[in-house]
Amino acid sequence: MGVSAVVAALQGRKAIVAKLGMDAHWRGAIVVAKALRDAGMDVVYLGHTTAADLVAAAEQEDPVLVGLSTLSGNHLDECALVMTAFRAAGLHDVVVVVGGTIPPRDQARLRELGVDQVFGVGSPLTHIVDQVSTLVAAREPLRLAVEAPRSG
Amino acid sequence: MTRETTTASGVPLPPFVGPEDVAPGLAERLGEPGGFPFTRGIRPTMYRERPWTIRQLAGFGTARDTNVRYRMLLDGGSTGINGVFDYPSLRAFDSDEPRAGADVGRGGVAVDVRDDFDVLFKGIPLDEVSVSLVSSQPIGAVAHLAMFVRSAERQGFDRRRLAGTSQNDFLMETAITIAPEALPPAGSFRLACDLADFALREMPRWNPVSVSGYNYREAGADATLEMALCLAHGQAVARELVRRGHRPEAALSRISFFLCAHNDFFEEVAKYRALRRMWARWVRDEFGVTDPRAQLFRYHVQTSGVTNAARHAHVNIARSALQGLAAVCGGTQSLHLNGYDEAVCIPSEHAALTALRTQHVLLHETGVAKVADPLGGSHLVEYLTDSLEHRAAEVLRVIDGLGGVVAATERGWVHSELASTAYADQMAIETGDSLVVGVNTHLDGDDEEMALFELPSGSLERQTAQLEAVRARRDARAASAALRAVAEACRDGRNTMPPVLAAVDADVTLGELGGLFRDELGRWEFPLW
Repeated sequence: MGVSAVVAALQGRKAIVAKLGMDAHWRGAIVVAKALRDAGMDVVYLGHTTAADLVAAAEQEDPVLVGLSTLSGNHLDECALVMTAFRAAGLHDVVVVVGGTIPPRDQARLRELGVDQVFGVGSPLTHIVDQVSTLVAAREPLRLAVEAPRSG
Repeated sequence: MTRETTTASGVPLPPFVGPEDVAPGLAERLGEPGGFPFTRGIRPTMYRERPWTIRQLAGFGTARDTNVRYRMLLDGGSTGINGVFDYPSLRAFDSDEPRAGADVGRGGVAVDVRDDFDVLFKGIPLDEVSVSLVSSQPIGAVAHLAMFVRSAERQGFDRRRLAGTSQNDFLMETAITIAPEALPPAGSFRLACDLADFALREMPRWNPVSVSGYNYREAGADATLEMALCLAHGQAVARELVRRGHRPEAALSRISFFLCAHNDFFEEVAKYRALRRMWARWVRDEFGVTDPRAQLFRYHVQTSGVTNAARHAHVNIARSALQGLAAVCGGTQSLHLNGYDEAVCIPSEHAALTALRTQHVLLHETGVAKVADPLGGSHLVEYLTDSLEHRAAEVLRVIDGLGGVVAATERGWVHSELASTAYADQMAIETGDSLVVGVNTHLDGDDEEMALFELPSGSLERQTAQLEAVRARRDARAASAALRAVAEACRDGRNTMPPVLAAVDADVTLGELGGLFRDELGRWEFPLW
C-alpha cells in the first residue's frame, strides 16, 4: 500500500497544517499531517491560526504546501480571508488545500477563491498525498523563478 | 495464513462462541435488571417502565432560530432538549471577537449574555422538560449554567426544579477538541468541579458533569479506551467532590455519562453492559456505598458521526438506525440519532425529523423496548462483555499509573493514544481492512441531490447588535466589580459559581468571563503534534 511510502516530489519539503477559525475537530488535520510526514514531508502543525498568523508562518517557514482543515462550516469566510492575505503577501508559489465537512457546491466556490484543491469527507489519504504531490510538482517552476535553485 | 478476526476494537472472535468461551460465575456477574452489578440495566423493567428519553441535538444561528427548532422537535415527539452551542460560545468568546466571526451560529447556537437564554428557552416548560446543555468545555459551561439558571428563575422556575445536564467535561477542553487558548487540564478540571459542587448543593435534579466518552470515541478512541477514559474521568470527579465535602451517595447519584454507538453492533451492546458493572463495583469498593441509586452508571448515547459517509448520504439513515438499536439493546437512558446529512452540513429540518421518526420506529415498531437486556445470556455478548471489562481495566491501570486522568492529559498521553488510533482507523480504510459502503466499497451510482441546511442569513449581525446593546445599557461599574469578584474566587480557591451567577446578572458577557478565566487559570498549548 502506498500511503506510508515516501513520495519523491514531497520528500524533505515543508508543509504547514492549520485549523481555521474556532473549529474544534483535530482528528482529520492530525491524520492528514501524519500521512504527509509519512510521505516524507517536514510538517509544521500550527493548530488554530488567523490569516495574518498563517502568512507570517508561511513567510518564516517557506512551505511548498499549506493544508487547512475545518468541519464547522466556516470554510467560505475563513478561506476568503486566508486567500486574500496570501495574495497580498505575494505567496503565489504555495499550494493551498482545504479539507473537512464541505458540501460539493462550496468546493467550487473555494476553488474560485484560489484554493488549489478541496478534500471532502471520506477522501482517502492516498488520494490526498497523490494530489498534493502533483500540485507541488506543478508549482515548482513558479518557485524556481523566485528563489535560488535548491541543491540536492 | 489467515488473519485473526476481531471486533472493531480488537477483541479476538472465534468462528462461533459457545458456553465454554464464557467464564464461570456468569449469574453473579449479571445479577437481575435493576440489581447489582446492573449488567442487565439500571431498572427492573427498563423501557416498559420508562422509555428512553428522545433527545435530539439541536442548535444553530441565534437563540431565536434555535428556539424554533427546539419547539419543532418537542412538537414532533422529542421528550427532552439537547442544546448545542457554537464554537465561540463553547470556548467562552464573545460573538464579536474577531477570530469568532466565521463560526458564530455554526455548529450550535450563539449565546453571549443571560438575555440570550430568555429567548432560547422561551415558551418551554423548564419544570417539565429536561434540558441537556452541551456546554462541553468547563470554561463555557460555568457561564452557560449561570445564565440558564438566572434566566429560568426570572421566568419563575425554581432552580431546585430544573432538570437536566451540563456536559462540562475537562477532557473536551484539553484533549478531545482543540481551542485557541484552552485552559490547562488542572484549571479546566477545577472549574468543572466548581460547577458540580454548586449544582449538588443547589440543583438537586441537575447532572453537573456528563463524562463524554462519545467524543473520546469520535476523536479516535476504540471501545476500550472510550470505556477506560470514562471510568478514569468519572472516578476523578467523584473523588474531588467527596474531597470537597459531599457525601459519596450524593455526588455519585448525579454523575452521568455520554457514550457513542459505533458500528460493531455486539461490541457496542457489550460495552454498555460492562461499563455498568465496572462502575457499580468501583462505587462499592471505593466508597463502600450500597445505595443502588449511587451505583448506577447512567448515560446518554449518540450515534457515531465519524462512521457517516458524505457519499450516498441517505444510507446514513440505516447506519444511525442500527447504531441506535445497539444503544437500546444496551440499555441507554437517552438517545440522539444523527441526521443523515451531517457528513456534509448541519442537519436540515428534513434530516432532523427523519432521525426523530427513526427513534419512534425503534421504540414502537421493533419490539426491543419490551424486555430488559434482550441480548443477555448470548454467549457472544457475554464473552464480549467480559473481554471488554478486562481490557478496559488494563487501560485504567495505565492511566492510574500515570497519576490519573488529569496528569495523563497534562503529559500528552491521551492525545497521543487518540491520534494513533485515529490514524490506524484511517489506514484500515485505506488498505481495505475496514470496508465502508460508499467510501471504499460499493461506490457505484451517482450521488443524489440533497437539500442542504442554510444558516439563517444575518445571524452574526443580529447577534453582535444585541450584544452591543446589552453592553451599552448595563452599569459598567457593576459589571467590572462583578468580574473582580470572580477573579478573587479564582485566586483564593473558592467556588467560582456564586460570583459568576452575580456577574451574569450584571450583564457580564461570556467572553469577558472566558478572558478572565484564561488570565487567572492559564492558557495551554496542546501536546498534539
